[in-house]
Amino acid sequence: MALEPMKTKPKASPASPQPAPATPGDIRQAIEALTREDTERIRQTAQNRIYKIGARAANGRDADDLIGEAFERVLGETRHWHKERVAFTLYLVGVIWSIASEWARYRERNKNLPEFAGLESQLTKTDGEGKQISPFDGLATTDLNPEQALARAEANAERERHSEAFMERIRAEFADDVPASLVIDGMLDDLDGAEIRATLELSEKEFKATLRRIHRHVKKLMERSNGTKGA
Amino acid sequence: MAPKERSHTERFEKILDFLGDHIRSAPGDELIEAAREEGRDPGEENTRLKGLLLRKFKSHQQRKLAEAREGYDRELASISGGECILPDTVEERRALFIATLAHASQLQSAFTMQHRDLSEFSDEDIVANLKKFYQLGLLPDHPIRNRK
Repeated sequence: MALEPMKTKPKASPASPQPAPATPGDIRQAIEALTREDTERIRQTAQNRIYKIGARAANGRDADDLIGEAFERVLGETRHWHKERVAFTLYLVGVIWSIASEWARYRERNKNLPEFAGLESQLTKTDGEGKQISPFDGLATTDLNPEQALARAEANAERERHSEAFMERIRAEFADDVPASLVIDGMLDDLDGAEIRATLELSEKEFKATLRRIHRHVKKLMERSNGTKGA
Repeated sequence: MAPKERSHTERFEKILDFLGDHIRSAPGDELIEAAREEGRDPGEENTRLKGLLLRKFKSHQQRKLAEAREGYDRELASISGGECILPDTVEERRALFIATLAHASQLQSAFTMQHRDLSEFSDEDIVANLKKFYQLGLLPDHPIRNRK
């Protein structure tokens, strides 16, 4: 009987070195190489996030401010772009989402003093483990005094009234547009795009066109509500 | 247990998150088309946004450079400050320099490799290096250091 060659246990490959973050030169090159599609993705993302957090959390800041702050973080020490892992545009888009959430959180924490939201956002630093440290952390108290609790409840109620009005207008706008109404139902049922398409048996083209109609209407609503001509 | 009823705000945010996710992953031509439908020129937007980012980049670099310059100036000022009292005579300064090198053996090879012969060092070189050693805390506790 022929002996099979002994199988050797594969050697563990040496740990690959941590890739270095992009240099300022890499970042500059990435900006210069941005295509029209890239800048649209960045711009439309920032506008969408401003709509999401609402005018109060945005505190007078617009999509350009959000892009600018995200980019400052990429240039600074708090966030690092690893160009081998992710394209610059997608990385910046991720930072934009994250900063918008930060703005919304600060707004949540400083509801009765909106100007603090911007200040806290500017002063917050990231520690060595990536945890964000607010200069107000030491002062934070979980218990609101009755006045603060009332201010928070009023602000929440106001936002809820606005959202209710938005939802009613969206429903009214698409009352006769069955595909759009059903796509919205799918979104609210936590389905993703592929699941909605499959459930509603929509072609890719129909789905995209429907989504665009919804997008246009939401944008119009937000612009009217903020009194601005957004993106 | 029945699922928790979502607030209107949560429902509205869900729609915005869905649209945001779509923007993140949609093919580029779809975004261009959407921009045109809104009456925007994607080419102009490209130029504008790249300009904005490049300006931010430039001002960030200038700020970093200014900070580095300030740090360098501070270091220079502290090196040339009057804190470090060196011996009065050329011979004593040279002796202190050689004693420091003997004390910090890691410096010796660097200096002898660079200059081969320590006797080639001028008094000015020696004073500058002694000040650097002082800043680095490398000066040995030499009696002549305390002399005026």
